[in-house]
Amino acid sequence: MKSSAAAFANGTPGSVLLLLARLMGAAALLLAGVLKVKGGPLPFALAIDSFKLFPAWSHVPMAYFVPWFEIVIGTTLVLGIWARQSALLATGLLGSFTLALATVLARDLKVDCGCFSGLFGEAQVSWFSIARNSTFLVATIAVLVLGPGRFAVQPEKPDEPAAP
Amino acid sequence: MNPRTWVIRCGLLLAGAALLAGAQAALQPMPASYYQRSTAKPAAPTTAAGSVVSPAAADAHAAEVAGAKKQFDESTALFIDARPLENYREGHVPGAFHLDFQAFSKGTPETLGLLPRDFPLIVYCDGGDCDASHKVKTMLEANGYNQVTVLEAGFPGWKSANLPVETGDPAH
Repeated sequence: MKSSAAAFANGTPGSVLLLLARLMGAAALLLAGVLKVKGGPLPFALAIDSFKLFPAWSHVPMAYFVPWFEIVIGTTLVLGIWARQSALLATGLLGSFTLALATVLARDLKVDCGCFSGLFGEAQVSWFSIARNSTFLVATIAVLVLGPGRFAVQPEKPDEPAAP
Repeated sequence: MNPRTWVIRCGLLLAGAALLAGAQAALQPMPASYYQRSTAKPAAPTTAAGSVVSPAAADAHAAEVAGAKKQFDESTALFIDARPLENYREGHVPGAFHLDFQAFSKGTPETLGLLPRDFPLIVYCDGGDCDASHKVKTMLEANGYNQVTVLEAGFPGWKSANLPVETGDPAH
């Protein structure tokens, strides 16, 4: 099973798919991060506050850290450097966001997601927000499981073990 | 790849992000208006089912709406609707500007150029648990507007007092 997954990942069709997965995941992360940095920490801190999920003391650190975290792992993901580790962190981040969005919907809160600074036009958190995040999540999980493929700055050697 | 490599690489990625975040925090500290904003919201006078929870809160809301109406009649304040645009179109305080929180996420909204800094501004949304008006107030104060208040009763409070309502797109 492992060797067939590695063969797929290092073959041309697999590498193309993994490149597309990396591009999709990285585009989401980079866009979200850059928009948040451009808008300054205040709008994102207020958006975090609206979720009513995190302790008040954490809002400001998160408002500064999360956008740069998105930019850093988005960059390494698109380049294919430390791709599996970037994909692991991206999966954790996107998974947390998706869970947070789901709790907002479950609690029927009218909240501005703040994810992409309104770029996709949605005024409030909706099932579209969750479906969109889930798509990106599938992409990062694919890279986590299969690796970056051949078209990466740091492709994996064919005999490199997949996981710890 | 051994677990130690995973831990080191993930740690370095996190540390890199933390370093960049720290640099931004040093260069672009959070505006004072964020820390000065009130996080305690007055109790809504009614439950979702409509029964009165607090007569005192209901009186406070009625007085607040009456005060806003006086400023509306005397043109001594500008009203800002912080709700989504579709809600604004369905009904808003006549002459109100539309300025939702999302507009600030993309940078400085064009609407700010139309708002005088030395004139009272009243921001409203849907009342109750809606905090959009408070977020817009915080953003306005961060942009140098110092005479901003929130109509806690929101548009529902304005409408239930049978006050004038306008529909359609923003004129501004």
